[in-house]
Amino acid sequence: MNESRQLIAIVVQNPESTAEFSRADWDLLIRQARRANILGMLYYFLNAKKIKQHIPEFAFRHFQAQANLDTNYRDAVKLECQRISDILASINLPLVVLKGAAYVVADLPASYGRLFSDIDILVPKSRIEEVEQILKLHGWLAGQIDVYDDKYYRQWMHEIPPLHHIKRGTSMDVHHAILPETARLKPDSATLFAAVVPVPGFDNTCVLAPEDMVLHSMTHLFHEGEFDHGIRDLIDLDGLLKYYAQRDARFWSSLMLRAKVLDLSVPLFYGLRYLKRLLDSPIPEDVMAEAAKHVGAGKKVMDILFDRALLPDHKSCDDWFTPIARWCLYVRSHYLRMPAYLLIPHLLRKAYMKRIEKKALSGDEK
Amino acid sequence: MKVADLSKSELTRRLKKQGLFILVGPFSIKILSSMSIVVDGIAALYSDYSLANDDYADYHIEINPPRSVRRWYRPQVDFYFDGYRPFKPLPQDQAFALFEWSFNWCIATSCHTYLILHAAVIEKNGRAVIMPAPPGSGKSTLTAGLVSKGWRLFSDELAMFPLGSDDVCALPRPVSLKNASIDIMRAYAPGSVLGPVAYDTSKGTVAHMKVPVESVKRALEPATPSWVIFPKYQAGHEATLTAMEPAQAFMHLAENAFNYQVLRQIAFEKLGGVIDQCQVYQFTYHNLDDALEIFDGLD
Amino acid sequence: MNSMNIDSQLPWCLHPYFKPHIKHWGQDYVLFDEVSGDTHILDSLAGFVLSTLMSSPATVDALSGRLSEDQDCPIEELKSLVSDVLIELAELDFVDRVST
Repeated sequence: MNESRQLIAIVVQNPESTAEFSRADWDLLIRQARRANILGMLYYFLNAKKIKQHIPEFAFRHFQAQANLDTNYRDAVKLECQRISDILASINLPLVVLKGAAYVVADLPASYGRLFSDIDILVPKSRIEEVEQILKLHGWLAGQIDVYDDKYYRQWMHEIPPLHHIKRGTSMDVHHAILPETARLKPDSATLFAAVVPVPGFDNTCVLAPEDMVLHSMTHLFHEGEFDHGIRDLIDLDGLLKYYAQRDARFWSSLMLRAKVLDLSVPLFYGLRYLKRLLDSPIPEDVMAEAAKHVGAGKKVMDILFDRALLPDHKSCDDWFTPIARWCLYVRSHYLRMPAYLLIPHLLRKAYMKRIEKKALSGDEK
Repeated sequence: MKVADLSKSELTRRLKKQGLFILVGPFSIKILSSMSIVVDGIAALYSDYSLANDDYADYHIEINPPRSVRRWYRPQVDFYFDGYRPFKPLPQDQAFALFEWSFNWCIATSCHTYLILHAAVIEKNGRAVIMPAPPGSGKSTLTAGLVSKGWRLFSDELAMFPLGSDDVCALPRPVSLKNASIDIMRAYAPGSVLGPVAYDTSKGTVAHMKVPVESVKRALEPATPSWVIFPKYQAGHEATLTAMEPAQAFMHLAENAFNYQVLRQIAFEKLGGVIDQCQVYQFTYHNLDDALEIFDGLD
Repeated sequence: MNSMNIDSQLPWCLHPYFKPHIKHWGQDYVLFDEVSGDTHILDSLAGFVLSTLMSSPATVDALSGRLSEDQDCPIEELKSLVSDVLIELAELDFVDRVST
């Protein structure tokens, strides 16, 4: 891996070394970070007085600028979650928050430097219709989507179509599992629910247990088709692992055990592997070795694909194979989510939709 | 060293190959373009700007034909922001205008250490006039006219208020003129330099006026926001300044801000502070000489 | 709901899902709500009521009492105006009755 790909890893693991960065290093880092949408996140690694004093102002302001956008949303996210939790309380359900919103309500380091997008929640499958109904009553409606996509969401993926609040415009994704029904891996939702942890300072609100939060993030990353957020999610994971491992000496072993229980040993292996390779995350050797035991021989091939797809979508991180790697992984993620006989028509349809869009666009230009 | 110090062939070579690095106000930009219309525009309008070191640029802007058949057939041009294309392509003769619009886009969508308003800013004696106005209000003609008669140009499009201070900062760039304004300025300030003219753009005919050298030289000197003036060109109307309610002005400014929605409460506080600092007026006029008299008389 | 029915001794407060920032110049107020991200322009009465409630809950009586110090207007009329404004603000989810 050439050096230009490692600037981000240095900022995350060893920010004091940014004192040695040349102007050219800053130039490249800012461009990579902008494409990967992590300028705001990196601000929090660079803002300590000891580090900041060695960073030229012309470079620092780019990180500061994006971080200025993030601070404004935290309270709004928390209040929105409070509202949703009140609604679910009326039907005797706890609010289980996932992903970014979970980091915010639990005040985790990974919550800093991200922009507010959707709120993701987890509800029991048996109650999903009830949840949809009560949310609808409170102004949460599914957007305009066609019958095919609606079916895709409900039957094949693990989501009701995304909901939007009619007055506030906020978006929410309601999940009943962390992977679709048709996927080969089957992490059991009831097991996740049994381990949720209440969030201090909030009523009726929980987040996944630390191990589950980590595993969910890894699963999300390695099953998804689009890697726009690849490096960002890796940085989140790096932060979560450091945070939890620091607080509990048994965290690594309980993470491993939990992966077995939830049938997520493969995403765990990939998560740890790519954290080490791409972000230089400080993962203990014995943990890496243990995780590798649970995975078959295909890992070398995956390196070729993931090494490229997870890096920022910037030409300094590309080589000739990168576009192909991204495409292979897109197909793979759909393969992991759906059996082959379902996969091809769906991909064909997506490709067809893209062509229609393109034709419409080029029609404008004539 | 300035852009003017480069020979035309050296300028062309840099723009085509490794990029031309220049300083514009507080930023450095790298420009890549193999199109002669862009080279000509930069040679004409950016001659007084200083060159920057080529190891760093805040923004990397590329203006080149698409890598497709549209390079030759009904030729188009694209804006690449560091390898990424935010816009659809435009006809090639609009390439220089595209460069200016792209630069605006880069600043407006990323410089969030400033509150950025869609307004012109001019300065005299350390005090700045902020002129927000929707298209068609005559703001650019007014700006160009005042700047050609002694006012310092901060910007004709982007009012930059740094979040950490009470100033307004300059980002002097060629003033964009549309349609009739082009001829008005040729008559009003015959010495002014105009860049390439683009026809049939979505805004009509567009050309850019060169920034007076003083404005470029003093680009790093901020000013105190002192007046917010909403201009409106109205044929036959005597030049009049009418006081405006601050809260109304606040709302108009918020609606004319690029990053108010994303800076949220930070923008609210900052904008409130700007209104606190300024006298606020509506300004109707039809004649640049009258306008100049009123502006020179501001106190 | 009309203003005749409002008990002027019941306290009002800001709505729990409303987090305002306010600025004013003379009689005009502008407001930014951190929760929704919306910006509003308010008349002087609405501005006064919200600014007061930002410090602490208050009853119609208390609000009208404060106003009568500056306004040359019969107290009953002030109470009616204040009640009307509170109803409007409640409809926007800006204010709420203090729950007992």
